[in-house]
Amino acid sequence: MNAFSYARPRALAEALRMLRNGAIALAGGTDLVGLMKDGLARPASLVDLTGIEGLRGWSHGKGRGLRIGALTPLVELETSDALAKTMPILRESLRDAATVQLRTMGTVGGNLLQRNRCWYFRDEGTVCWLKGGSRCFAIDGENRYHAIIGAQECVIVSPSDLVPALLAYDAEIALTSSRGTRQMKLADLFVAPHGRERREHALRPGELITEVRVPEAALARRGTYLKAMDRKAWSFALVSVAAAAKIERGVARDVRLIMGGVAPVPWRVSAAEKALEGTTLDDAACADAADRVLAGATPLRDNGYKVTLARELVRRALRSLVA
Amino acid sequence: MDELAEKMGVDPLTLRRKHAGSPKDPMSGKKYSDKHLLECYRIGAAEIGWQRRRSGGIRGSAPHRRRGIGMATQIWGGGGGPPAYATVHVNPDGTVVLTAGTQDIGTGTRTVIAQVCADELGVDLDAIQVRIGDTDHPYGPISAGSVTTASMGPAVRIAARDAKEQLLGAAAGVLETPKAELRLEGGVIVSKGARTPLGEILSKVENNTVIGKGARHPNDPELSQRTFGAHFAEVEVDVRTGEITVEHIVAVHDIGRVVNPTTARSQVEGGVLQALGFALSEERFVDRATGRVMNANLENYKVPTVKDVPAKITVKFVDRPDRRANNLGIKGLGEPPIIPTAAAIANAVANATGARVRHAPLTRARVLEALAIAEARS
Ligand SMILES: Cc1cc2nc3c(=O)[nH]c(=O)nc-3n(C[C@H](O)[C@H](O)[C@H](O)COP(=O)(O)OP(=O)(O)OC[C@H]3O[C@@H](n4cnc5c(N)ncnc54)[C@H](O)[C@@H]3O)c2cc1C
Ligand code: SF4
Repeated sequence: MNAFSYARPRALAEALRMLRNGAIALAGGTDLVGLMKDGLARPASLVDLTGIEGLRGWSHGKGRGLRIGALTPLVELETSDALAKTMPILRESLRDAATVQLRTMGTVGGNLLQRNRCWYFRDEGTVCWLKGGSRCFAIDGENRYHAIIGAQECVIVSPSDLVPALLAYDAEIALTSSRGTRQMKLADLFVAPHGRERREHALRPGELITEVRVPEAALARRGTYLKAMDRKAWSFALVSVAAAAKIERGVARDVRLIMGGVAPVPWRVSAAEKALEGTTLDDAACADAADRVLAGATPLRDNGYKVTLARELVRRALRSLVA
Repeated sequence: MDELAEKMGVDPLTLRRKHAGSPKDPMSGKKYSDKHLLECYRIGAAEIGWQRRRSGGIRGSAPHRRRGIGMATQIWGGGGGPPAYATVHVNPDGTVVLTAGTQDIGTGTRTVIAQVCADELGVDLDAIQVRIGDTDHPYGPISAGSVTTASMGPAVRIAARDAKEQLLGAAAGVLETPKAELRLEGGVIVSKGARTPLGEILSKVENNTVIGKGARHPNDPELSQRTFGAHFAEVEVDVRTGEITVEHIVAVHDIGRVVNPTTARSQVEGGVLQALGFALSEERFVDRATGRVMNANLENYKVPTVKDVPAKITVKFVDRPDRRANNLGIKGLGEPPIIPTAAAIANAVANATGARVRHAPLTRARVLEALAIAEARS
């Protein structure tokens, strides 16, 4: 690991000043420290955000939606019974995310910004396209965990379990930097690396995520999260599905269908959601939605199984909304 | 073997029973020193409930889940043999030091050889201090090839007997009683009507430390010393996602006399868990272009977690001394528990689904592919 300076300010303004000067944000450190140890991140200075008041915890003001501080440890979202009533999908998605130790250290903001798990990317000695090299080694290499859809130069997959769940509820994020604040759709945070965009997130330098916001209207949806793994715990998703909808007299409205583990970004196809609108989420509608969400999938040598898995998880997730 | 049985239209266990009874080792043509494989089958079939098994599997806990039962056999070495040496020092205060160049890597060697020594010598287990794990000690075997206990144990017994004979000789002199009328029990010399602590005897002789020596006796070259066993697995398979859940493993082994039931059982449980990874999730990925190992870490080299462990692991032993194998009737148990587990699981998966996966581990990718082939066939 390279030498670096470290500070743990109490005031947000102080943190923002340091970030403007090129410091890198440190939250739980469960991803960043690993990247540093492997020589994949070499920050000269770190700003530990965990000392800042007001970035931790969640609140639900009736009519004002749900607000989750970016520094809230994942385990707090998972274990709160009150939150499990407000937005049950959070607990469901986090239950099989990483391990309880990692969920205790890891934060919401860090989870949204975690980097991909491609094993060529994580191998310090391999300079692949995403790291500034000339080619992707996964496309014709060992690619059983890689993307089946939506990829261009780089076939990474979106690793987070929390993100699809939040997206199914139309989450937005609040950002702040020394230049001001802005709000954006969580979906817009994610970039499929391509062309000059050799990155995974659309965060600007010096910017912090302060909060995740879920609009009140979305909280009326039923939702579910399903995840297929290589073993029964402590594995990134091979394929995951978050589905949500308002069910009115057996008919689905405001349907959301987001997949993790299949594409470089959380995968969402609005044509699939539209086709489900007003249906009873019967088997035919589910199969049709699976066709649409996976239309144009081009599996690599070793990951064709993900298509089968994805189809089944989509069907199960949607069916469970009306079960 | 299961595929053969299926083609012949017979129950796979019946097929095995028909052919597994031979007292002769087909590799060498020699007779086995002992063999209770059929007994392993009998115990295992009863424990798993083999009679519930149906060709084509049985219904699972949900419409898309199928249950299956499978089994596999292990025949392995484990007879042990020379060289292996031990010394047994009996100190003037009646304490005993057992010394050998072997080691305990967690399998229980330390406990097991102390038991053999205490038993043969006639002292309490607490009286024995075991010194192992040092190459300055008399040579002992490595912990490999399932040979440690069956090599070391007999040498320890001989050393303990040597020490005992010397002690009884000394006691005969001190007590002025014929040696044949003396016994050593719980650290006490017992003669007709009298009990004398060892320490008291040793305080009265000039060479007051007794040193017994033992070397492992050779095996009977006319016989084949083998261990036998059978594992049975019950699994549930989600036929639409390829997820396998191992519900129950029954492990039955014929390893001659079981020296210590607890260490033996935990060795089998450990072997089953290691084999579970071998069967379901542990796989090394090498980049074909560069030869780099892509998953030299515990994130992507997937050992089983607690959640993967079967709800039930049943361990049974035939537990009959193999008197022609060695002076203790014991055989090894290092590797036997890992041998048949993966095959039993794969056979159970095939029974549940009709999908035959011939390559370990049985990942989602392989299971889904085999399921697709099975579906296309039917
Ligand atoms: C072995 C292992 C298994 C895992 N399995 C899973 C899994 O199954 N599912 C899953 O979803 N995740 C999994 N993870 C990822 C884990 O959830 C993330 O590492 C964790 O959520 C990151 O949070 P953190 O607070 O530790 O982030 P850090 O490591 O501190 O930061 C990560 C990145 O986010 C930036 N950052 C953090 N907070 C902010 C903020 N508020 N504003 C701006 N930038 C910020 C940092 O600068 C850094 O670039 C796993 C991780 C490991 C190591
Ligand atoms: S998938 Fe992306 S990160 Fe992985 S080797 Fe290819 S370019 Fe690099």
